[in-house]
Order: sequence, then C-alpha cells, then structure tokens
Amino acid sequence: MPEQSFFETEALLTLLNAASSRLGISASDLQNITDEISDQDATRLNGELVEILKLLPSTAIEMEEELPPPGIDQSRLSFRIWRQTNSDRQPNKMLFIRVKDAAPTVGIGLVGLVLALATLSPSAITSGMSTVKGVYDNFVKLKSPEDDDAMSIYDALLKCAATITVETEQPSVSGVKAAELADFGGPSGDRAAKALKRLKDLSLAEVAAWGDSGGDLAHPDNLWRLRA
Amino acid sequence: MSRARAFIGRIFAKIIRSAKAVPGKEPSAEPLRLNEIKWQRNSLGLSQRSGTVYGSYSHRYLSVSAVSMGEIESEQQLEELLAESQGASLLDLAMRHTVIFHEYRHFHDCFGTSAGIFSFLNYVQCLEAFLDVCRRLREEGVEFRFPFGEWIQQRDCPAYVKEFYRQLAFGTFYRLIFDGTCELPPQRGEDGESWRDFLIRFGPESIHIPAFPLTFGVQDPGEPEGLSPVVHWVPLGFNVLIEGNAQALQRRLLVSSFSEAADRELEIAQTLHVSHHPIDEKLDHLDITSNIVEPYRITDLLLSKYLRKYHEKLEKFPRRWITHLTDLALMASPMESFGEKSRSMPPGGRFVQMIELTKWPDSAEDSPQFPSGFSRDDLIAIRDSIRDCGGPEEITGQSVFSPVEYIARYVRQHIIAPILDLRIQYGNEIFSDFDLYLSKFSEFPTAPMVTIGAKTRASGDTPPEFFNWWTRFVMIGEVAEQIWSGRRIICCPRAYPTVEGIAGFDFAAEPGCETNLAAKICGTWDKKRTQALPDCYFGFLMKGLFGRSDTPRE
Repeated sequence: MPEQSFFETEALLTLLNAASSRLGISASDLQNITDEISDQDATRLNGELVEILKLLPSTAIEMEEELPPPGIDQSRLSFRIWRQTNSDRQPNKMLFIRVKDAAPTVGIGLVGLVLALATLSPSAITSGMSTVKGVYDNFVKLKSPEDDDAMSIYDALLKCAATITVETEQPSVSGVKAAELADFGGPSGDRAAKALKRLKDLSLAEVAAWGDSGGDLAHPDNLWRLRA
Repeated sequence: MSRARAFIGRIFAKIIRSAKAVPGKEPSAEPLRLNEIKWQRNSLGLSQRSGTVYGSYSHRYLSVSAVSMGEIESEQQLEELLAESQGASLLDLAMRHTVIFHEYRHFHDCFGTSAGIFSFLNYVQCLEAFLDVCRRLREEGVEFRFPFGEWIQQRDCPAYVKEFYRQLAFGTFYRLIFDGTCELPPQRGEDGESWRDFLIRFGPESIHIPAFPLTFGVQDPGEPEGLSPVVHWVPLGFNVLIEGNAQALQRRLLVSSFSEAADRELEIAQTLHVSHHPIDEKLDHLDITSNIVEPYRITDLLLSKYLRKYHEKLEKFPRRWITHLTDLALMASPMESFGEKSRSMPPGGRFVQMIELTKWPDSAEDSPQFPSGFSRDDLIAIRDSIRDCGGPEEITGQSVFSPVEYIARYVRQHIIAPILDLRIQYGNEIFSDFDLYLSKFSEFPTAPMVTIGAKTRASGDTPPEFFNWWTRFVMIGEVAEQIWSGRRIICCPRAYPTVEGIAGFDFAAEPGCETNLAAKICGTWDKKRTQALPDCYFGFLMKGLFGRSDTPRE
C-alpha cells in the first residue's frame, strides 16, 4: 500500500478507499455505499477517524496545517462539511495528513467501513467517538501471525456485509454462516470457528442468531455479523 | 503592447487637460481590509439574485457560463415557456433566458476596452514572469521553497525571486483597487455623498479609490416601523462597472423580450436593501448586511444620486448615459504592464472623473457633452499594436511556457483585435448604444469556452487545439495562484475544480482523471510526497516547475 496523503475532510473517503482496495471492493460499489451515508453520519465518522489518526505515532503519520483546498466540489462527500472561513472571515485552516505506514491506516479504514455500513442500519446507529475508538482499540489487538485467521475472517465478514448492502441496497443485519465466509476469502472449518470466537472475545463480531438453543459458538448454523 | 498603453495614457492626459476639472474632495484615508468581497472572488462575475446563481464569467479563463440559454422569438413562445415553467416566477424565467447576454457582455467589455484588455495581458505577463523565475531556479539548481511568502524573507532566497514577489504583492494590491474588490469599513448612519474618495496605502504606495455609499435598513423587531441605516462603501472598480453594463443590457432585454413587469420586479428585488435579521448584540449587522451587497446597480445608483444632488431636473435619464460614461472610463484606464509602477487612474476613479467632466444638460431630452473618446485613428493604432505578435498556431513547443504564450496570442489575434475592429468600423457607440450593440452582436467573436447547464462546449469557430492549450493554461494559472497565496500543499485544479468546465477534461493518460481521483491516488503535490503522481499534466507541471514530481525528499 503506497503512502496516503489527504486533507482532513477527506479522511473517511481515503480510508474507505484503502480498505476497499484491500478487500477487493470495486470503486463503484464503494461509491454506492458512501452515497447512502447521511451527511450527519459522514461528518461524525470523518471526525472520529481523524481523531484516531491523531493517536498514531509520528513514525507512521505526519500532520500539518494548511489552507483548505481552493475548490469545493459539492458532489464529493468530503466537502459536505467544511466551512471556508471563520467568524473573522479569515480562511479556516485544516489538517493535511500523510500516512507513511499503511498497516494502521488500513486498520482504521476497515473499522471505518464497518461503521460506515453500520450507519446504514437504523437499528445499529453508532454513538460517538467512544464507539470508533473502542472498535479500533480492539481491532489493533489482533496480531500477526497468531491472529491471521481472525484478521482474514474479519475482512471476509466486512466484504460480505458490503456485498449484501450493494446487492440488496439494504444494510446486512441478519448475519452469515461461517461456511459462507470462505467464499469471501475467510478460513474454513475449525479455523473459521476459532477465528470467529477470537473476534467475539474482542467484541469485533457477534452472533446474530444461534444455530441451536444457544451458547455453542462453534455451531455451523450460527449467523455471524460484525459488531459496531 | 506597452506602446499601446502609453498611447492611451497620452490621449487621455490630453482629454483630461482640455476639460474643466471639478475640484476634488479631500480623500478619506481608510484602512483596507485585504479580503476580497465575497461576490467578486477571483474576478469571477456571478449573476445572481436572491441566492440563485444564473451565470458567471471568468476573465482570466475566457469562460462564459449560464444555467440555460434561449431566445424568445414570439409572444406565443413566451406563453408556452411560462406554461412549462409551472408556477416559476416570470422574473426567474426571464433571468434564465437573458443571462447568457449578461455574461457575454462581460466578455465583450473585458476584451473590448483598455481596462479589460490590459488587465488580462498584465495577468499573462505575471504568469510568464513567474514561470521565468521557476526556469531560472531550475537552471541554477536552486530549490523552490514553500510557502513562497516565507521563503522570500530568508537571506539565501535569490534577489530575482524577491523582486518577483515584491512586484506580485504590489500587483495584487493594485488589482484589488483596479477591480474594486477591496473591502472598505462600513458605518452606521446614512451618507449624503454620491461617492467618497478613499486613500488606500500599501507600504510606501497609495492609491485613491472612490466608493459609493450603499445604504441598508436594518430592521428592529421591537420597532417594526423603524429601520436603522447602515452604509456599505462599495468600491468603484472594474467589476462594478462591467456589472453595471451587463445589468443594463439584461434589463433592456427583459423589457424587449418579456415585459416591463419583469424588469420592474428585478429592479425592486435589487433595491430592497433591508436586513431582516433580528437585532441581537451578538450579531454584527454590518457584517450581515455586507453579505447582501450586490454590484449590479451601483453605477446606476451613483449617477442617479449625483444628478439628483447637482442637477435636480435630470431625475430620469436614458440608460445610455451610464453605458457611455462606463465605456469612456473603461477605455481610459489601461492597467500597467506587470512590474511597472502604476501611473494611470483605475477604472472607478475614471468613472467619477468622467461624471465630473461631463457638461450636463438642463433636461433629460437634451444630450450631455461627454468627454471625447478615442478617435478612429487612435483605435487603429491600438489594434495594430495588439496584433503585433505572431499567430497562436506558430506555438508548437511543449514547455510550461507554451500554453501561456498560445493563449496570449490567441486572445490578441482572435478576440481583442476583432472587437477593436468593430469599434473602428461602427464607432465607440457600439459599446454604449444597445440597439447598435445588439444589431451587431453576431459579429463579435464568440467566447471560446461556454458552459450551459453542466455542459461545456466549444464555440463554433474555435480551433480544436485551443482546448488542449486552454486546459494547460488553466492548470498553470491555478497552480501559480496557490503558490502565490502561500500554500505548501499544491492541489490539482482538476481534482479541486475552481474553474467552470475544467472537470470535463482529462489531464491523465489511461485510466484517466476520474478513475485516479476516485481511487485517491492523486490530487495533491508537495515536496514531501513520495507516492508518484499518475502520468498526467499536473505531474508534468510539477516536474517542470520544481524539478520533480515523484522523488522523495532526501
């Protein structure tokens, strides 16, 4: 993943692009998803992702203040929210962000995509900075190589949710079986069950509907979904 | 070119000397607020009413845009249009159908008067001087440092860079006065003057600018009948003058193609200077009302107030009096070449000077004796001087200079000179007599870039290669503006479009700008960037100006 550089109002779009690129989600599908995000949710998510970026070490990220970009393209998600001047009619400055190390950025992008998809569901509206920070804090606990399967199945859950959202024009809330996640690049069999359990322990995924009377995380008919 | 400017200066010095001058008022020295007025950013004239933008014109980029274009050829067609508009106001419909003439009038005033012609050529010279600085730095192996304004304060910054910056800073200041886009401090209460002369200082330099006291009523909810007056001093500059002309033309068309009622509706809409914001100590009403200052009727209001005050029998006067005075002023105020010390009076000063030099009659039925304009021989001399450059088709190079040179030659040969030919053929009245102007409208050169709705299109007689050069010219101009304004991060003008129509062009090889931008792999350039820009003109320009587009900093 090459260096990413963007204005703070573009954080959401840039990070979602980075995440989509990793997951193989097409640009047009991503566009369909972002088109559905309300201005209010886009503004909030963008701001929260910038706050997460600020927490990254200086070895991974550089930020500097700059005048806002000269043009405003109203059709772009990133500029729904920016005021060009302050109350003294001086130009507002904004952060220009350069991410050197891609790994944490993609992580933030993945979390951003989870939350972006969650905002499309009326029953799963996220609530503020604590959610984004909480999800990200749990996400970064995944370490390679021991959590490779968990990372892989997280990607698969995300890709599956994005696909369902694009195909049905509805957010995915019902969940999918572990076996189906193999089609989206996730591990299969016992490895999938262990990976999903790891995600559940970290509150990154949850069982939407149990395959039996409940409690058996390894049951093949469990329906899993991302937790936001 | 400078020959033509000096020539114009001499002619007008002669005219002014021969006329009886009215004693000037003592100018007020006022601090200049160096932020441009909102409605005139970057010399883009917006035609708007009650928040609806109907069209715009960019002088630098030869670009006319309008929400729609149409001509009403019969009463039946008008009735059909009104029926189709389903409840839209008559004025809205009329504005949509006449706005293209408003914007085209800007194009003609901008390339058919000395003020507009030399303002454009000054801009081109400024761009060329900047490109020359960049070329010299590259040749000498000196790194361009950002932000520009901080670099020139450092000891090791080359003297020629500092000199360019000094010229740029003064040129920018002078342009604010020339265009009338500086902001003067508002005041509470009324002012009975037709205009006031302000003295604006910039370092050791100072320039006079007249301003019109536009009075607003601020409504007090506690006293529904009472309005507190607030005066906004609207600087008289190039923009207000050309807006006055375009507005006058549009109103003429409203009457001839629609109705007196549509014209009256527009006049009322633009005369209603009342702020309905509730009075609140936390709100600054001076600022609130400044947002509703419009440039369209300033010359009309100013002349009306002047005549009411000094020639009370001339309560009503023909519209051509204003357009005549405006044309005289615009022809008498050429901008100096870039880097040259300003000697001539800016357009606003010339406008009030022309008012004072005119011998006004006792009745509106009689004609005023206006100061003389350019003779046919004068115009021929200016036209020949403008034509004194090669043709644009001779430009074949691929350097960063080429687009600027091409556009300058194209404008001189195919826009300015043909418009001056019309002045020579039909007389200066072609710019002030709307009947004559409209009858010869089709003989004027067309604007090369026209955007109607969201669609940018070539005008019929523009050669296809023009657009390649134009897109690059716009790219260079917008990038230079960013550098001059002190940015560290340079934004690609295609990614962050500020110019009408530019988003429809592709500056990159396959897969093209849209795909690259959607993937967020481009859009900005700065010295620390390590990710290569795509194969595109923005990357080429950054490499051409600063020596590289994709190599990391040591």
